[in-house]
Formats: sequence, structure tokens, C-alpha cells
Amino acid sequence: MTETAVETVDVHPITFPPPVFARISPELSLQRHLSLGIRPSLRSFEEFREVNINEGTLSRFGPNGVAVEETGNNVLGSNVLKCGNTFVVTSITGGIVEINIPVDEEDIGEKELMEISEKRDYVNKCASVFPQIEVERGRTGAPTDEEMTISQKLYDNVLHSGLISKSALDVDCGIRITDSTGKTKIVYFDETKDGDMSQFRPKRKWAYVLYAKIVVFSRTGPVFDMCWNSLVYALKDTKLPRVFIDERATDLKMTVRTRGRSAVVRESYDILFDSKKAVPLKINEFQIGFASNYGIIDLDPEAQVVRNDEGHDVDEEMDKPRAILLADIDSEAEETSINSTISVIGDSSGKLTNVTIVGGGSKITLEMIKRALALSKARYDDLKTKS
Amino acid sequence: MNVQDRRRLLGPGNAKPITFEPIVKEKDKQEATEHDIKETLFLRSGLIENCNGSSLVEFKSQHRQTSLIASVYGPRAVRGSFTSKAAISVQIKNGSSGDYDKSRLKELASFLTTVFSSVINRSRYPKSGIDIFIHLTYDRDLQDEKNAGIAAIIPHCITGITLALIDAGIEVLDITSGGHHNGSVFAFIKEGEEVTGFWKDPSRCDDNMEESLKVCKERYLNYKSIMTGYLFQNQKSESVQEA
Amino acid sequence: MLSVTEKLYLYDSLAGSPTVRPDGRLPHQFRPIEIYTDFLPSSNGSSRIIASDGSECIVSVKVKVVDHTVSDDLLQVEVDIAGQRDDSPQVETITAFLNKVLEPTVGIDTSNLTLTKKYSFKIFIDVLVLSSYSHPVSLISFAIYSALKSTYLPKLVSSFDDLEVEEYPTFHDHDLVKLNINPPLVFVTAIIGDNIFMDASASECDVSSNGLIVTWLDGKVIAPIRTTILSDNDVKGFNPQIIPKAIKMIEQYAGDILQALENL
Repeated sequence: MTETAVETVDVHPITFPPPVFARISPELSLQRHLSLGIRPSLRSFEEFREVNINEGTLSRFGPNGVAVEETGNNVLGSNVLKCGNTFVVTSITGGIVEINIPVDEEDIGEKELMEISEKRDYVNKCASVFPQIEVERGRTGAPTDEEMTISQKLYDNVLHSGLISKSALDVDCGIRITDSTGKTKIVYFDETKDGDMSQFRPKRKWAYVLYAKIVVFSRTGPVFDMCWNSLVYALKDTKLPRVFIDERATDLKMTVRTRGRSAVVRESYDILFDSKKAVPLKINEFQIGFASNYGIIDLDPEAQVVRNDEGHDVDEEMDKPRAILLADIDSEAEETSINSTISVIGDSSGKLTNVTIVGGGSKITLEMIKRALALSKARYDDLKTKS
Repeated sequence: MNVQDRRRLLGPGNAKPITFEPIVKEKDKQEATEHDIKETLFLRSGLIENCNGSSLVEFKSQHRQTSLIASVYGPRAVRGSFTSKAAISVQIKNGSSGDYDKSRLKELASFLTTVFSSVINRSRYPKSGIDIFIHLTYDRDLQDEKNAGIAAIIPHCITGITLALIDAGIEVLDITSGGHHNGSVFAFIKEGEEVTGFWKDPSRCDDNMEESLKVCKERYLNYKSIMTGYLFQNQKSESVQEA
Repeated sequence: MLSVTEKLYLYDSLAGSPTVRPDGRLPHQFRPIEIYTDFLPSSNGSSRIIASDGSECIVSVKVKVVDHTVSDDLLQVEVDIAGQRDDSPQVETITAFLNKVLEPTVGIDTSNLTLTKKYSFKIFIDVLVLSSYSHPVSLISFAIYSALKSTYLPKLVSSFDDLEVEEYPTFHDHDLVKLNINPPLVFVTAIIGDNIFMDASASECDVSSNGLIVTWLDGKVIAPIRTTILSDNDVKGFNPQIIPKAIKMIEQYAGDILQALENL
């Protein structure tokens, strides 16, 4: 009788295969891995995932600004970025808006004042793109919080980084001329040396607007970095199509009648896009920064895997929790367990576009931030070579 | 309805989108030689981590280049009353430059739903939903065949979904695929003995249904052999990895 | 709702040869329908169609003068099905399909809509399906046909050639002209076993393995053609030879239906 009673209290350890264990207890799984000096993804603490990029595969225009496709493809710049299992597809499309130029007879003093104040306003000279993020996760409907946050963050960062100057989006409009023989040709004022042509220059101004559609497939961890890097590569690839109007439209006035009201006379330009020629988007190369992210986690002394040969170390570590810095957070376990994060956009010279530090749980020390900044410089150098 | 979308950054409202007219090449249309043109079909499955099954289909021919990603989520539990069979839904998202009308894509999505209703063994999955997503990465019509339009991508959608379903381990009655000919699409199972879907759009040439059926069947058998070849190869490499 | 046994019985009697439909109809025979036209005073044309099973559909036709040099899209259909959202798959699919059917490239002749060299009538067709017990697209197409056939448009009094003169077309105060347009008809056939049935009732749809939507104009079956599922049960593939068989049946009998609609 006693023997059977002893047998019933016998405890058998349950073992799970690593993927199942990670699912059941992500925190513990992560801690066990970290105590072995390795991450669940088998990367070391400060190791980034390899990034592969594929530029311009979806774009209409080739590297020299000549259309490689004769279809209705309207993608001006594109990039496919693969990082680990995740891949991001960015395609840049464009639009055009008319800019209202103040009428010439304006008060000159006021205009000067405006110019002075505008000069100081650095942000006012920069332009941005309008990103639309889709993180594929098998759902439909309104965008998620993550998608909305990322698109706003991308918008703000492009604007404030000064990556694109407003002047880079100004349209230099050409005209289509039909000569006496009935042949048509398109004249661009910066291409022709004929000074006489400038009189035909249209009096109105337009500007390009850029839209970025970013689709994230196979999301395994935070995706902001990948979206940013992919967007930067795509912008580098972007070509703006040449724009022209028909010569008849340069000084033609068309009547636009609205019913019920008195007739309104308005100049109407039908602006057209050159389907063969494009110029590269001028981006301020020296302002380019790449994004990277870091997480800080305290090693839980109780979750350590005790190694026999280093048994004497254990007591030492038990006294104070050791915090470690992980680069390039990935996987569900890391994303859910790590609350203290550092996110950096910057280049190798140490010029920073954006640094976000979120302290949650683990304490972020100055050394950690220094280390993260140093790593982001190395990451920049690596990513720079990709394009 | 004039509701502003506050969830997305849409940019200035008065912007005119940049669009291009396809450059019409002056060359004689060679409809008859369509068979002779070499087509390549590139398949890959299991490339997306956060879904149950996924596939990538890239198709290249002299007429058309298409690339799409299909992902399958499910079978997952559905809320509400008991259903004896899985509910299937198909969503098509257009990431490409192809300017397909949204409602036409919805029509295509519901057509694909009908095709897969007869292919997936739905009674195996009661009270569950199988959600299928297609992302059209690009679709380039290299000839100005406007009226072929959307019909030409249907066979590739079917191929993609079938591979994704197999990758997800969802039971299908047979490997289905289809062929496109002059605006007509037939989707087959059982070596062409049964039709699971038929879609016909107006085309500019005089069409003969028997002819289309024959051509589509040939293409189906071709696509199917490519798919089975890919699946066998995949299985082999997997078993090698395991061993 | 039918029980499993009832379904099997029904399936066997429909899939067998000779076929026995529950109401004794022939495979190509329609149930009686009632159509009223021109009952909406504020529309240019209207119709109301009631099938004998209680399915009901109202169509209103309105016209507007548009500049056809801007857009040559002169017919537009909008479908509303009671109890379904506007973005539900069925509503979207039927809308897209009917717009395709009424596209000029399909076969409808829109030249009668041209007013002047610059302006045309644009026809807006609003469909409201009040109740439906089987696939409603065939019923809708009959209703659209009879509504368009009962449409009267204002008579143009200004000149036809307005390219030189900037002029908006003007119309007669009272006189109306009958619209002469010939829209295609749409038929839904149910596939059960190797047999096909026109105008399948709800219980017949329930046991069907697949369905076929076919467009017909001027004695000929034309595109678009689609397969569709008529009920969620037992959807199966079918023999490819059924498609030509269905087309033959429609080409044989559609003329009679057209005549019935014309005789209103």
C-alpha cells in the first residue's frame, strides 16, 4: 500500500519542444534562452537580421529615368525589403497639385516679411510623403492602431529629417508644340537652350505629391524599422515623370459654365504626364538615416538554466539582476516580454533624425543608450551598402 | 457621403493622380500564335510566417506578367450559430498598378469563393471560417489587350489559392487550376472531367466555346503538373532536411 | 428548410431522367411573373416585378444630360437588396455583373442616347430587391428590361450640331419620346446532376450543385457568363458538356420569354 502511495506523488518533468514552449510561456522561454547567451532566434544579443533589398522591380522608370515599361504602370519608385521572414513591399505613386501663387500686386513689404519668417521656418521648406501602411494579418476593415501609428511616424520623420526639400517637388512644366507640318514634340525648358522658348513658360505652378503604399507581409515582430528603411530605399529609387501641357493651353481661356450661377471664366490647363521621360527625385543624401531598434531586458535570476561547470557564478548573479541590450527585436516572445525600447534613426556620422526611448520595466542606463547609438552607426554602414 | 477619412494620411484633396496611358505599339496582333509563346510559372509556398498557409505565384509570358501572393488564414472559429460547413471568404487586394475597379475585384473574389466552395472539403471543418487573401503585387499587360483584363489573372489566383490551401494543410478534393483563353476562364478538377468554375468576359475575337474549353484544359493540365512537380520537390527537400 | 431525406429525394428526381420538378414544370419552364410598368411618377421609367414565389423587385430609370466627350459611360446600375449591406459580396457582385452586361462593348446599342455631338443622355438604373428566394439576377434583368422599354425621354428641340455653338440642349415642355434600347437579358440556370433547370425555385436551388448565369441578346448567348453557387449546400464541380447544353436551352427558349416581356 505504502509503495503505491509513493508512486503517485512521483513528479515527472514535462518537456515541450521549443516552439510549443515559446507559445505557452514566452517570457520563460526567452529568459532560458538568454541565460544561455543566445536568443530564441539563435541570434546573439547584438546581432541584427540580414536585410535583402530589391529596388525598383515594380517601378515604371528605369535607373536612367527612361520608361522601361510601356504599360499603364504608375509606380514611380519601389522597394522590396526582406528582413528575416518578414518582407515589406513599398511602392511610391504620385499626384500633382496646383500651388496658388500670390498675385504680383501684393504689398512688397509684407512679402519680404513673409520670406524672412519662412526662411527661419526650416520645416516649411521640407516636404513629406503620405504613407499608407498595411500589415497583413488576415483581416479586413479599418486600419489598426499599429498601421495608423507607423504611418504618422513615417510622415513626421520624413518631414522633419529634411530628406525631401519642398523645391525638389516643384514641377518644371514643359509644353507640347505642334509645328506647321503637324508633328508634335515636347519641349522642356531646362533641356533646350533656345532662350526664345521661355516666353511660352506657363504662368502657373504645380508641385508633385508623393504617396507611399507599404505592405508588410509575414509580420513577426515590430515593423517600423523595416517600413522606414524600405521607404528610404524606395524614395532613392523614385523618378518623377516629366509634366507638360499643350501649347494651346498656355494662354487659352476656357469657359466653364456652372448652372444656376452667372458664367465663370476660368483658365483651365489640362496637365499631362510624359509616359516615357522622368527625372530622379532629388533627395538630400546627407540627411539619409536608417532605422534600428533595441530592447532592454533584465535577466530573471530564477529562470536561469544552471550550468554545472559554472556553478560558482550563479550566486554572484543572484544578487543583482543583470540587464542586457538586444538589437533588432523580433519574434512574439521578445516583442511581448521587452517593454524598454530604444529606437534610432541616424547615420554613421552620428547625425540623428529620431531617437525614441521608452522605459518600461527595465532601467535604461546611459551606457545602454551609448551602445545602441554605436550599434546604429554600424547598422547604417551595413544598410548603406545594400543600395 | 462626404466623410473625411481620419484614420489615414491622405494628402491634399485637390491632387490629381499621376497616371499614364499605355503606349500603344503598332504591331499586328497575333492571336493565333498564343499557344506557341513560352510561358513560365514560378511557384513558392510557405513564405509568410503569420498565416496558416501562403504561396507566391509569378507568371511570365510574352503577353502578361503577373505576380501575386495568396495567404490562407484558417480554419478558425467563427462566432454565431453552428454551421455544418466551413465558410469561405476571399479578399483581393490590389497592390499593383493595374487599374481594376474595386467592384470588379469583388466580383472576382466572389467568383473565386464559388470555385473553392466546390474544391475545399468544407464538411471537414464545421463551425469554422477559412479566409483567403490575395495580394496582386503586379500585373502588367504587355499587349494592349484591355478586354482580356481581369479574366487573365483568374487562373493564377486559383493556382495561388490552391497552393496556399495545401500549405495550410486544408483538405481539398483535388488540385484545381484553370486556363484562360480569349476572355474565357475554365477551372477544372479531376483531370478536366469536372468544371468548378466558368467565367466569360466579352472578347474582341469571335470565340468558339469548344476551342476555349480545349485550350483551357490543356493549360490546366500544364499548370497542374507544374504544381504537383513543385509540391513533390518541396516534400522531398523537407524530408531531406528532417533526415 | 428541407430534411436530408427530402433533399435526397428531390435531388434524385431532378438529377434522373426523365426529370420531375416538384411543381411539374418542364426544365426550361418559368413560373408565372407579374410585371407592372410606369408606376413611379417621378422617374422616367419604372417597373415592378413579382415572381410567383413572392420574390419582388422594383426598378426605376432616371436620365441626366451629360457631356459624352468627358465620359462615354452612359448606363449605370445600382442594386440594393433589402436586408443586405451595400458592400456585401452579393450586392457588389450583382452590381458589377449588371454593369458589365450593360456595357456597350457587350452588345447593347447606346447610339439612341446621343442627343447632340457633345451631349448624351445618361441612364441611371436603380434596382431595389424587396424579397428574393433564389438568385435574383434574372428577375432584376427582366425588371430592367421592362423598365427601359417603358422609359420616355424629353424631346430635344435645340439643334443637333452644337460643336461650333456653345449651347446646352433644350427640351420640349411636354412632348416625350419613347426610348428605343435593347438591353440584354440575364438567365440563371441551376445545375443538378447532369441536368439543367431554368428559373429554379428555392428548394431546387437548395439541392443544386452549381449554377450558371448567362447573358442573352438578339437570339444569341453572349458574354458575360459566370458560374455561381445558388445555395451553400453540396457545391460540386460539373461536367464541362453541361455549359453548351445550357446555352442551347437558353438560345432555344429565350425568344419566347422576350416576346412575353414585349407583350406587356
